Amino acid sequence: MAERCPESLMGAIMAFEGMAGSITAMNGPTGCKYYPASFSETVTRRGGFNPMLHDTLFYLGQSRVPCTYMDSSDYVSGARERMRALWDDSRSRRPSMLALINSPGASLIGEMLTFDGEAPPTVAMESPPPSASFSSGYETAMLATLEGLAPSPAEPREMTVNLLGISVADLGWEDSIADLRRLLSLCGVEVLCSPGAGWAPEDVQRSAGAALNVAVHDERAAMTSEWYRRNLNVPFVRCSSGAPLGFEALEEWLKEVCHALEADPSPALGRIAASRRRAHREISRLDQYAGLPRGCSFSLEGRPSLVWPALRSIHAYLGMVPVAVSMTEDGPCAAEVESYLRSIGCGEASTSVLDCPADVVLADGNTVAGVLGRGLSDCGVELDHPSLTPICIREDPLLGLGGTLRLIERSLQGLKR
Amino acid sequence: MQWLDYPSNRGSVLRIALYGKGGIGKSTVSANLTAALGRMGLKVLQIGCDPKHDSTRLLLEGREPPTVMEMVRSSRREDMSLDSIVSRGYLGCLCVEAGGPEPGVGCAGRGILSTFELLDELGVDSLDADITVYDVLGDVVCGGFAVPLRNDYAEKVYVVSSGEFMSIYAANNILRGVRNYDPRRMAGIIFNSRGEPEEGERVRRFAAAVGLPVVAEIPRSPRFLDAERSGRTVVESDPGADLAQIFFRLASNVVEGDVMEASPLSDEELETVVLGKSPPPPIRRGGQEEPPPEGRREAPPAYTSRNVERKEVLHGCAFTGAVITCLSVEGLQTVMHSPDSCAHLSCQMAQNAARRAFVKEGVAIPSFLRPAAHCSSLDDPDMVFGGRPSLEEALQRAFERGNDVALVSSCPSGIIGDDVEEAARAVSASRPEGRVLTMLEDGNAAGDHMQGVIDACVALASGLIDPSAEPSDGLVNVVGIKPIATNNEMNMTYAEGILRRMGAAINCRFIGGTDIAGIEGFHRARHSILANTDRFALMLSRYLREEHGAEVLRSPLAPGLRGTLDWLGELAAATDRESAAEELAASLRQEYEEALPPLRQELQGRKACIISMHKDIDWLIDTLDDLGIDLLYAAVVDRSDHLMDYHVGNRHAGRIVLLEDYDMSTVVTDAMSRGPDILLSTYPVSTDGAVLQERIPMVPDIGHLAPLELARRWALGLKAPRREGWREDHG
Repeated sequence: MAERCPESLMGAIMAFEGMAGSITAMNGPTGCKYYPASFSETVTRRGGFNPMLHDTLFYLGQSRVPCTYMDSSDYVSGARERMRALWDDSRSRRPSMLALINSPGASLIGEMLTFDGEAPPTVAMESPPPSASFSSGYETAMLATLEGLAPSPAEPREMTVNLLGISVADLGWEDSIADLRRLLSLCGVEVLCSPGAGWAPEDVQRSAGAALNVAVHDERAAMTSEWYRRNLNVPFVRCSSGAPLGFEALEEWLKEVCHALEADPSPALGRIAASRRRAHREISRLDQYAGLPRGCSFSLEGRPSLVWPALRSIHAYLGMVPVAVSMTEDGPCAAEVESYLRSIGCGEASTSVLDCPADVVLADGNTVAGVLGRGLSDCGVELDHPSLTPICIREDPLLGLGGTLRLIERSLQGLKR
Repeated sequence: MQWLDYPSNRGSVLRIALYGKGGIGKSTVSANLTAALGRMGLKVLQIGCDPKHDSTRLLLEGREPPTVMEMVRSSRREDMSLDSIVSRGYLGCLCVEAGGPEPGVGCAGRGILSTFELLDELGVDSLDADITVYDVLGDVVCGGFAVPLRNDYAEKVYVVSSGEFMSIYAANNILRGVRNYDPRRMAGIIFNSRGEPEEGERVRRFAAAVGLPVVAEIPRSPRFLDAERSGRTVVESDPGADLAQIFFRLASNVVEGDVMEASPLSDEELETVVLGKSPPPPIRRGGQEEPPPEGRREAPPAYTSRNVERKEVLHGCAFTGAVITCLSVEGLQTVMHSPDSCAHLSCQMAQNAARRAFVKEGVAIPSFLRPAAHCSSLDDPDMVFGGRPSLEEALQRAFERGNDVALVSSCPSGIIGDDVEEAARAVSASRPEGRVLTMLEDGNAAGDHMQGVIDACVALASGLIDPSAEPSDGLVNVVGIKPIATNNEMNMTYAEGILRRMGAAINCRFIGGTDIAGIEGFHRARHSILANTDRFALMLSRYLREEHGAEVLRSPLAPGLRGTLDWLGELAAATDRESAAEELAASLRQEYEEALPPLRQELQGRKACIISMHKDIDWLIDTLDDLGIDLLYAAVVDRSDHLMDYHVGNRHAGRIVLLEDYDMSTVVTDAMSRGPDILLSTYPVSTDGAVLQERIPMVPDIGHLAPLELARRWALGLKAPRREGWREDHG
């Protein structure tokens, strides 16, 4: 599993890449930078590999994550002077924030990432935690960003929230934020920003004035929310239903947020109710002519905050049965998932989604391809990158109301064959 | 006895570091200094930065405290606290030991780094201390041991030295190390005598030469040993003694002495100053300076990538190249001795290739769809203490899935010096039917991505090919396959189709989409044909000829009619299938010629320019000629990160310009100035939609009709609007 899942280095880089206008510069070999750079280009919609266009020193054919192209002799002598040159090159491009990060090998030899001189706001991560979870790397980078940009305490603005735990690495991150923003605004709640996902340096200070921090993905929110609480007095709420995905979890999440802010959730709940009726119409047709989706099997893989609400939705709402469930890292919702599986008599469900036949497989695009390509399923629903369909022009959120409808629609699509 | 009343808690903490050659007495000096500072009423925190973790034992009555690294190794993060690692010693001084690995394994420098990070995280600054003393191992041998020299830490640095030359040499090196950080923090030299004559003179000459004072001269004395036997410092056991007074004066210097910038000497100057003689000439061999040692490799490999041969910037790493190659072999378990990040990056490459192929072609290399990958997940404690246990665990997991295991090493495992081969031997000793093929890539120590692919192919071939396999008529190996190419399966299907029509078949796909039996049975085929013309295929071809006696045809699988007929003809001659080949060739030629006229009608008279990263573009020029497209300009741009097919000879050499030193925008401008209708380039170049741009595939489809499929795109493209509507919008 560790081999297939994005881990702490990716988490840290994506947290830095989530700052609009930033440059993330890596001290390390090219092998450590190619994939993160390519991934960032895809998820933040900024260019693509083209060595004929991006043929500059440090960038090596890509538009993101320049590096010092360390080799084995640099592990002996260090690459400080080249890193200084990269730092000079990066600051001359006037990024909104400059993040400097060591690769595992550079970290091992103790490469220092501080330089004297005028520079944009700079954050350095000399020792990204090795072999830790994506969330761990992400939160370590988020804390470094907050410490580095050091927002000052601000008077909380009523009925405002920050959405914590979203990463630009998440499928449909922009549209998910937009979807949740719309729902909350129906309740009179304004989203100030989503730290780590498309925020800008000025948003860092704005975020200090939120009345509440709200966990979207709680495995990535604990340390960040604690920092806000300790340094800026911003309180935090986490919904035990996990991420706002699936009608039940979405409603519970909205109610929890509104309750904490003393806002009225009914306008948003009314919108959800209308979508429920629409979904009912489609599902009842399928039920009437095929007796589906009740009893169909599904396998599910992802981070706990996604797996928990998706599991409930597909089992309790659609009536499908899990045959394999696995979580790519640890998190507060993991216990809920395990408890639920036991309660529905599926405590012995396989944890190997890649090897389990199922009517529907829900996972990242590569796992979906791996299952479909080996004939173990006919229907796949992507819950994470890499995506089978990287071109995305229509809004296609993973979370919120749009995400819920997406989840239902795509889970049923393959069953109609 | 000397007491000086110093008010405790003097505001911000003063931090000092003691460096010096191993065994010179730093820990003894540090402990006595701490004791003296304590007797002066100051609160001291002493941090021992040495895997031997014996810095503070004289302050703790001979006891050794728990170390930071042991806590990291044995505790969960939420259970870690300062209480677990801070011990209270003589006069309430606080003692911390970093600890680290056993001799010969792991990375002690990483241990020091991790210690400092963890102490900061646990809030070491909240401890009630006026002075922090860092007692640091030996020489500044790597970045980890230099942590106390960083700006956030020691404000004053002392060097402990005897009068022996190597001790002074080490002291001089430490001054060089300090210069890499803030050089203006040297406080002086502490002369710890061995009792040799003229020792003091040497130290004083050195100190004068580098511009530092000798702040203490500590004579050799049995009192140190006496005190040590009782687990105490001299200051504690006999504070009134002259020896103790030296440490009290040193303590005063710590509190009130100045800092300055030192000027380290060159090696030659050092010899002159310290020993008073001219240094001997350097050792020379064969008329040249002895080259410095490089990594683990004793000699460069015989089969190299271009990046390695020319010592260029390495594109990608050998680790990933080797892993990808191994993952493409069905039934082979691949163990990656690395942190998770390296494994993830490599597995993603395989899975992304499978996903793209599956979406585009509906078929992918099966072993890429479900990688048989196992990672040792090197974490912080592994980096410090050595990763062998994690590696052995990963190998055991792999053996539970299959008997054949490939083992690839990463940058971190190479840096910490894990004996990967020994670990493999130890695990496979309990698995009589198991095989481990070890690839010591050490990340990119072996080279770039392509070097890793070459190394893996060589390792798999030498480990698996059965030399006794009996050749069977009609079988052909395909060599130099690129498993991550999206059209890999499609190309192999075409090749198989042609071979079937000649009564032949593919034996082994070396290496991409084959299995262990396929590699073992390599010699069942008498002949091999190259899948590509690049350096990778060239190296593999040479290796198989030289080491396995393989017969590799000169003509590779190729796009276009001529290329297809070339390999068909050569294979036919080698396998006595000329008449079948002639009939087939006639059929292919007819298909090609029948496909030409409608395309020629659309494209004849058009003008094209080529900017290619491949040198092997004869097939492309043939296609333009066959369709009556006028080739205005063809440039091949040399790039170190590309397929490296520069050994390939061109039939159309006279029409191609090979550019080694160029500016891409100038090349594009040059091409565009000639007024082409079509610009064929490996990647889109910036022409703002002024001309139809079509890509030259990175790995072209093979086959007699493949280039005509490209030409169909050109014909369609010329009917597209000159400037598409979307370009008028702005993102």
